[in-house]
Amino acid sequence: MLLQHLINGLSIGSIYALIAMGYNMVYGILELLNFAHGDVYAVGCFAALGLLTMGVHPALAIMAGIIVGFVINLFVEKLAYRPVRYSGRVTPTITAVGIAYIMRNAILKIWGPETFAFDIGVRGSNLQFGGIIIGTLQIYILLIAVSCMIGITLYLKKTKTGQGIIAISQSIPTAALMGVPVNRTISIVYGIGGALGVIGGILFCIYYDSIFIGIGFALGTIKAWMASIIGGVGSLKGAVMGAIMLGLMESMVSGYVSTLYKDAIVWLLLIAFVLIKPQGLFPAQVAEKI
Amino acid sequence: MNKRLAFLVMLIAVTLFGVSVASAADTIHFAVVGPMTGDSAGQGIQMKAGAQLAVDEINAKGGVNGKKMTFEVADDMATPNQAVIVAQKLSLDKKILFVVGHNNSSCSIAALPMWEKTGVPVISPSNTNPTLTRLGHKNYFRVVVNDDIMVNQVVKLAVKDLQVKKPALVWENSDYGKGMKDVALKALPALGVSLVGEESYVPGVDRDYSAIVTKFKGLGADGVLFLGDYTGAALLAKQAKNLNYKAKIVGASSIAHPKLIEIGGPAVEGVVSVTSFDPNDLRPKQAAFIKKYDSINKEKPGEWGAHAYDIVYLVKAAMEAGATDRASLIQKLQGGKSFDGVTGNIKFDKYGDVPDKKAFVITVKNGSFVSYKTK
Amino acid sequence: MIFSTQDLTVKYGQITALRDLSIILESGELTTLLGANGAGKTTLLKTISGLLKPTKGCITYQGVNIEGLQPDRIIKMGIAHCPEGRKALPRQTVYENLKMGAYIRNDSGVEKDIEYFFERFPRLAERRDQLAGHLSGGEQQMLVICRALMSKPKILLLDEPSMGLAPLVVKEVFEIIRQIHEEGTTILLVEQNAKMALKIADKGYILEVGKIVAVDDAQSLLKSKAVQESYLGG
Repeated sequence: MLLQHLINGLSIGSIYALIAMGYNMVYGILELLNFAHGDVYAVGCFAALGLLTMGVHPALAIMAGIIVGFVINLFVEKLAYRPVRYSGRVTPTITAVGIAYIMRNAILKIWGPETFAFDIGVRGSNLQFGGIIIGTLQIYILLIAVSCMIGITLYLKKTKTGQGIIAISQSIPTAALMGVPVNRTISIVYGIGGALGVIGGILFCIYYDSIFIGIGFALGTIKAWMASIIGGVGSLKGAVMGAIMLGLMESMVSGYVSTLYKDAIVWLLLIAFVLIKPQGLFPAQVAEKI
Repeated sequence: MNKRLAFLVMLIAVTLFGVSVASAADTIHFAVVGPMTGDSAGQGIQMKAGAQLAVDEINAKGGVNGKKMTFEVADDMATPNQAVIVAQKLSLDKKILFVVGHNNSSCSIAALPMWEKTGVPVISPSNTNPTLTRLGHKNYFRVVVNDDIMVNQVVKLAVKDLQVKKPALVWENSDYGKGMKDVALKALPALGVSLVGEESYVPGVDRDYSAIVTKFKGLGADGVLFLGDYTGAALLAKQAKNLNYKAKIVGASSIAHPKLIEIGGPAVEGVVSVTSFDPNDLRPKQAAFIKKYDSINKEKPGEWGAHAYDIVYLVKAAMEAGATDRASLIQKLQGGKSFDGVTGNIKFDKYGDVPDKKAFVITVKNGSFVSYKTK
Repeated sequence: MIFSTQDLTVKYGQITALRDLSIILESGELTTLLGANGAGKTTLLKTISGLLKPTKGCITYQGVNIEGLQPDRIIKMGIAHCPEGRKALPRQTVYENLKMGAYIRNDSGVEKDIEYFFERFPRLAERRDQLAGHLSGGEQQMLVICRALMSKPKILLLDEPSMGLAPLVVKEVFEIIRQIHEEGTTILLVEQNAKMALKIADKGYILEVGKIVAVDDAQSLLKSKAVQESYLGG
């Protein structure tokens, strides 16, 4: 059973990881607690749902959802964050909360509050090893999470825009003096963050065959934030490792202690982490910190 | 000067309230209060649809004592503090004669004192927490059998009909779920079986049941009593199927909703539920109602839609028997006169309960609910 | 005349940092701008490179008005700004820092130019893959100057390159600046170390509380009694 619990935790963790990566991209650049992250990508996921129910091919619907996440975040950045970028930390946090509510209400208005089935026609099969069951879906999710992480790392390290993003995260004026188009580059970061969120969100929906408004805040923003605290805020590796740790913790506590106290215990562990390792388990290795 | 001021105030008061009194006089206003957002929103939406159907029918036939009925919808988000906020706002609205709601026991527990202050009759289509009618609120009624009765039937169904030997229990972490769990914990030993595992989840938040499934599988539980919402039940069934866990899933009325099948798909085949309304009831009155509701809402009613429908007609009957305001409506409802609705015979006892109402058992077969023959 | 400002006024809210400031840079010359802390030297450089917007006046570069343009436009036109306090990008390697300097370039010569600077400054070459944050102050200053040159600027704006460096290192840095000047780059050097700056400069401006109070060729300023008293420590 221990192995099964580990595998369950790993699968949930990989989904959290994708969501946390997008979140940490934005945090790494602007140190903004982006409360809107989850609700923005939720819109992308619901857009995919809308297309699916209209009979659009799942691959196209998912691509469209990812693009919606990307584009919405571009607008959100331009309208809600750029004007307050240099107004300290509290103001953008508040505009972020405002955006979160706008997105949530947009979803409520268009799709309503219910839980919907999310069926893209992919039925993962189960692989059995002794008593242990691994869903192929779980393996795909883990692979997607890891390849997204590698992809983003390469993008940051090897492309000009990626290097510009890293420069902006260290000093906006210095980056500007080297010719990095600050506004455009920050937009791209938000766009990628939104797109990654949608990928994570859609995997979440596929994994649980269902979609509801809570994938944004309760299961998105909050889990991404918890994962970042555990792993290391602003670090990609930290986001991934923290998310997987979070998944394992939830699964272990549910399996061996009690589901009733799961949240309380996980939060206690989180507080312990903050006290013992305020930088997180994998504090942004300066070089890879975005 | 003061006299003129007083006159002005009076004038404003008359203009403001006079108008509303005038409009209230020829219309009967009430409110439907339930979760219109969140995981149990499907239930709130049914309440709205059921009430709407009743109101439309009544108005088409000339209304109640010549007055048309109309209602407003308020969202308590299935959360107690929001319920109190809604109650605070609506109970001060003098034209609201009664309330259909709340859907969640926890919301009623929190909001009833507020409703009681202004004497608004609150009639719930779905509150099943046994203690609710024992809190001494004179304005509170429910048309649903309470969990004491319901859960005892769930347990009996699992043990006697489905031959579950090692039951495990999942309850949603709310007043509602906890109330049901307490009943089940008492009922099981009485039937000579003991629980092998007990887990809970946070409704509207938790999406992962794989840890619970893995645990139950390890414990060898051959049946799961699911005392919570339909979304949770559907997800549990799906994840159980993914992990090759084949225990029977038995639930209370809160899972007997079309959404269970929509979300759960093939995984919920064979899930059995006790409910106070059977959407496949073939008796003429019930079948006609179900057909009409289905044609409008594109889904068959569950107990929420059916109960809300009954409540509106119940109030109509009380008004035709002489109720005119909040106080007299409460009196008429307490009067103990029996009302024959689509969900059965409604006759309140002194607590506001319907002890004589019968429950049904349904199961999922080939993607829809069918009646289940109990032994 | 390659560059000039006319009646440039810059305000931070209510405070006027620069008042009607006019300077001229001749092509290929090294001009130094001297002044005490708070005189407005850094403000001027930030305004030229587009980080700040002037409230009045204009900046002309090769006959074109450039005031108010975004920084990335200005560096593309050939004005590179080396900010004060050695703003190396600490979490990127020496190599990546140099490459960032060529951010606006799309030609194929970037790698060759990086190798050129590595040859010229072997100490940077040794630390090629180290994070810039781990370099000593002098090395960082060297890196930041090379980084600015990577954009192949026509005008280099240097903001207090000697600040906080040991005297020996300061000498070294000034030697580098002199060489860049010799190679033909127009330089505007902002300094508190007036003596060293004037020694390598062609022309000098003296700035006090946002206003130009003196302008002359560097040799004359070095000899001027007033300048000696105020800026050259008697």
